[in-house]
Formats: sequence, structure tokens, C-alpha cells
Amino acid sequence: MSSKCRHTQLQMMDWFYDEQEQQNWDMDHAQQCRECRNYYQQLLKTEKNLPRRPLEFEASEDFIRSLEDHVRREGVRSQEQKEKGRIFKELGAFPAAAIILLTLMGSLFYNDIGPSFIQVQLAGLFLFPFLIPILGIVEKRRRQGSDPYGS
Amino acid sequence: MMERELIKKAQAGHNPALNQLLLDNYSILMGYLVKLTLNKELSEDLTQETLLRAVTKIRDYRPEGKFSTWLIAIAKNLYIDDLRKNKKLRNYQEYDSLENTPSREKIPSLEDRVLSGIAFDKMKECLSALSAEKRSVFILKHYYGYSYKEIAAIEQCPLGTVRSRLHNSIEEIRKVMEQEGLDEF
Repeated sequence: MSSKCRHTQLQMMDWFYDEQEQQNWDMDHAQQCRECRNYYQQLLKTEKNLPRRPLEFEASEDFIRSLEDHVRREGVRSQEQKEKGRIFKELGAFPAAAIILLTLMGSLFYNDIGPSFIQVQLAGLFLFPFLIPILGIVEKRRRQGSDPYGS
Repeated sequence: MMERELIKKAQAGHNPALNQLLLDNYSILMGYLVKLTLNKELSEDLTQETLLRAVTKIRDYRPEGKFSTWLIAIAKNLYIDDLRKNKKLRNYQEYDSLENTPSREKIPSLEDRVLSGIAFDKMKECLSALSAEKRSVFILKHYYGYSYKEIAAIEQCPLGTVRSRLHNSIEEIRKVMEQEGLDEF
């Protein structure tokens, strides 16, 4: 097939399938070229032999019920996950706040209590970020354990 | 209720809205899959799997086009996965279940059944000759009137590829029609 024919046929197809409003192809070529004339005829035959009417289907009662069940379960699951996420954040926020507070107190009492207390506070402060991935893994395992769909 | 409104509600966790949204799109999804797979049972399984996946992923959906476009993209990917998994086990062209009693189909009149039976046969003959990729493009354009742009999004391929696949599909359908004597125009 020549590039002229291919171009013409693509233009015919675009028009036929409403991608172009006007017939933009080279009319002289289309009238003279047998291949392109046949292609145009083929578009009409496709339309006639394969009517564009889509198939109509209705979901069965069982299907609707199982879908509704799944939607409900999924809703509950996502609510639970949200709740867990909130608790997890709160759990994380609490030690962080405690450490900051204790560090502050430590610095205030530094002179009286001695440097060892502050060292413990600082160690806690630096160790806390390392706990985050561990807490993440624990949370992930808990989620997997409570996932009835295996997704 | 408008589709956009349903999507918003569904994403906010309103279960009835999500149910309605999915059931509104059941017919189009099932129709697409029946034509794509040429197998009714497989289409039912894939429709169910698609809708269940949509339930799980509804919050990730960004309403840019029609909701059915998103569902069809999921369905098409599931079908391709299924084809890959079962490549050695199945030959989809040998499936013969389109003629089986359409349990979930709306019950048509006798005339409709005869006419649609002939149309089914023709459709099956023609579509089974196409590869899965070409068939999908042809179905989306010919039967559902999706734009090239929408099809490109579903198929995850350039617009030129969509045009090319459609053009080749029509060529291949012409050959089948000539060979099988379906050329009655």
C-alpha cells in the first residue's frame, strides 16, 4: 500500500468514526484509486455487518448482593485502617513529645542532677528515629494479619 | 444523580453511591469484555474482578474522563494478565460460550434473538480474527464510540498506534468477511 493510499484511508476512517467533521481526503485520488474505493466500501460493510448497537447486560441479584457486601466490608476495612493510622500517629507523637519535654527538664536541672541524665535524654532523642521503621514493620504485619481479602 | 457527584460521594465513603456507580457501568463493562474475550463466563469473572478492584482503588481514581474508561482500563489489564497466565492452557478462539443462554442478559424478543444471533455469529467470526490489542481498539471505537484520545489512555499507547490498529483491524475484518462469505453488502 502506498503512503498516499494509507493516508487517504486513515482520513476516511477518521471521518467515518467521527474523529473529523469534514471529508479531508484527496477526492481525486479516492475516486481513481481502486484500493481506496474498496476501503471506503469496507467501512460501510463493517457498519452494516457489525451493527454498532452495544450489548445490554444486567447484573444478577446474587452479583449485586456480593458486590454490596464487598463494598461494605471494604468500607469497614478502610475505616479500621484510618483508625489504626490515627492511633499509630498518636503513639508516635507521645514519645516524641515526652523526649522533648524530658530533654528540656534535663537541661534545666543539668547543673543539679549532673551530666549523666542529659546524656540519657540525648541518647533517647537520637535513638527515637531508629524506632520508626521498626514500628512501621510492626504496623504492616498487624495490617496483613487483619486483611481478610489478602490484598 | 450525575456521575461526578456519585464519584465524589463514593470516594468520601458513601457505600450506596459506590454501588450505584459500579452497577451503572456494569452493562458497558460486561459488553466490552464479552466482545474482547469472546467468552461469557470469562467476561463475568473479569467483570466481577474489575468491579472488586475498583472498590479497593476508588480513592485513587482521578475523575478526568468517563468512569467507564477507568473500569475498562482495569478490565483490559486484567484480561491481558489472564492471557499471559493462561497462554498455554487456553485458546480463546475456541471458546464457544457466546451462544450460551445469557443468564444476566436482558431477555430479548424472538425477532431480536434471531437477529442478534446472526449478528453475534458475524461479530464472533470477525473479532476472533483480530489480536487482543487490535480487538480492544476496534471494540472501543466501533461499538462504544470512544475517542482516539480516550482509547490511547485505556490502551496506554500513542494515538498513532490507536489509528494504526483500527485501520489494520478493518483490513483484517474485510479479509474475514470475504473468506467467510459474510460480505453481503
